[in-house]
Amino acid sequence: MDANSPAVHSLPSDSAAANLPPRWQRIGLNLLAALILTTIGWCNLPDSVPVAAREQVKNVCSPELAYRIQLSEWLWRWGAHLAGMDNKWQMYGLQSRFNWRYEIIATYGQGEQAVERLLPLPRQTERSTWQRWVVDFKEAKFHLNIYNNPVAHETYARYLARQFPEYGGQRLERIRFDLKYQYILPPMVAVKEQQLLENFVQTDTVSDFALANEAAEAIGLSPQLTPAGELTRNVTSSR
Amino acid sequence: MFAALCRNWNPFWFARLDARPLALFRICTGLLALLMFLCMYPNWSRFFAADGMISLTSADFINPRVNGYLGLFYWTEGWIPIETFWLVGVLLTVLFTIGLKTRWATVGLLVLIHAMIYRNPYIVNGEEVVWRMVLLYSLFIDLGATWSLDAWLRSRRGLQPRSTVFAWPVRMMQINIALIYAISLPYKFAQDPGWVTGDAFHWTVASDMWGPSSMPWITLAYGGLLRKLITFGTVLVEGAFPLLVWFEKYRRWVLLPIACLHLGIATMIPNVTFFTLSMVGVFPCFLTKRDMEDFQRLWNYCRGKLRSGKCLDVKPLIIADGKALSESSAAVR
Repeated sequence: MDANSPAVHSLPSDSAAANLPPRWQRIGLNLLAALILTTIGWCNLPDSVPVAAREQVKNVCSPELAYRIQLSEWLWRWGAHLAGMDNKWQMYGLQSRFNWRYEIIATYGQGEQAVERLLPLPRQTERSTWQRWVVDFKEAKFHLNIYNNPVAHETYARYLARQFPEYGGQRLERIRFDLKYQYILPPMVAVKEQQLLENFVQTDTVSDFALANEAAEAIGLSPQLTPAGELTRNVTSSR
Repeated sequence: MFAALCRNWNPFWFARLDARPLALFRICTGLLALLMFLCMYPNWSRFFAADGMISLTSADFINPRVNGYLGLFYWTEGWIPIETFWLVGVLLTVLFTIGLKTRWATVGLLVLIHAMIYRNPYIVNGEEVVWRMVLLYSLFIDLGATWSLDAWLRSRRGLQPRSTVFAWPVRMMQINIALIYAISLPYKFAQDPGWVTGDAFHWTVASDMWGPSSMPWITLAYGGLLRKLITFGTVLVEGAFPLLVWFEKYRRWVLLPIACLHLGIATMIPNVTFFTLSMVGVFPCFLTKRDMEDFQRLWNYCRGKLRSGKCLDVKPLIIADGKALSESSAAVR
């Protein structure tokens, strides 16, 4: 560590010493720094390490002591969470091996008159340059954050049901999330074939929700008796 | 080494630092946060309102992950319209940027970003997380000491100017920023062999989730040489930064490449622009008094040149048929 960097205001050593805070403050701040840095380090360990440590505590200590240690660890983590210091810093660590996107499709009406509609949403319908570059700047991250998360899908689907409750005079019945994915060719193959992606785009329905009640409430009608938010996952897989 | 560490410990943690780099950090971060709030305007209600994408109004459905009670919006639900907080956010970022009531603006921004994170965790990106971290430390830094309206008002009242700030919170912020790289690099190696083989950038380029798939040549050209260079370059820059930024001799040589790396990412990968620029925005806190004086000299030199008009004195560069094509300087003068 270089005392002159970074951003050290260069002072002669005697005046620097004169400007230092009292000893008790320095000790306190040193301890606080150690606590904060240990917390950040602990929260950023691979998930398996704290789990193994807890197991070890269970095996070695008496039940009462093990409980106390686990409670202390929980309180410590909760404090870190409260202060926003429990982030796991993993910038661009694992790269996806396939390109994927959701197609969110609403079904309006029932039986033979049912109509499917690709909802007019960011990332799945035509967007202007302004919308793509400015307005939609959080959409990719949003889709990544709700990836493979049925509860998040349902939360969003309910919002969409309220936003698009009717179409062509028919009421919304269901909303489903289709996952469209396309494998990325490995680097060597991609260079050889001078293309990045496999030709096949595969489609799986990952979530499907009956949301007639949500739509009915949105347009001011009384809900039907069908259970809202009925969840059927992975119901179809078409290639 | 140990003796040097002991000798420099107290000056490192407890000396006074030049306030100008922190003011620069405040201005960069404030402007970027302001831009983010402006860009969020069309989606603000969709993201945070009770009947927005978090579906708090659904009668028979509860998602325990949204609207956390640790966020301000949980407590204001039903009596302060969510749209008000967008205006508050804009106001706070403006105050923070210009340095008026800086401490209060810092507290307010921290609370607001906290509230956004707890209200809708599904739209949280790196920028909110980075800002939450730096704003927490900023609470204990006199960010309005200089280059601020607070400083101007103080001078108008005849009070002493404040040109230095206490080092401890700045050091904590610097260490935390360095830790982002120090922690993420081993994870990169552990999670994806592409970071070891030099192919990681291939998957980034091919991904249309983030944007750069329109430039396949980056990974396909020269048998993938460019991709390997970029991947290993990224590893080198991210690995060197947290180690060498603490040494005066190397500081600029690691700060400049990492800032360029983030600016490159911001240009090429539009969906992470705010996160990557938020990292660039916090790098000024690593600058020193000497850097600021060099910037000042450069600025004075350029201003002097501009005023004297000498920088317009462009000599002819291309000669065709014995006649100069670039005679702009003469024309301008």
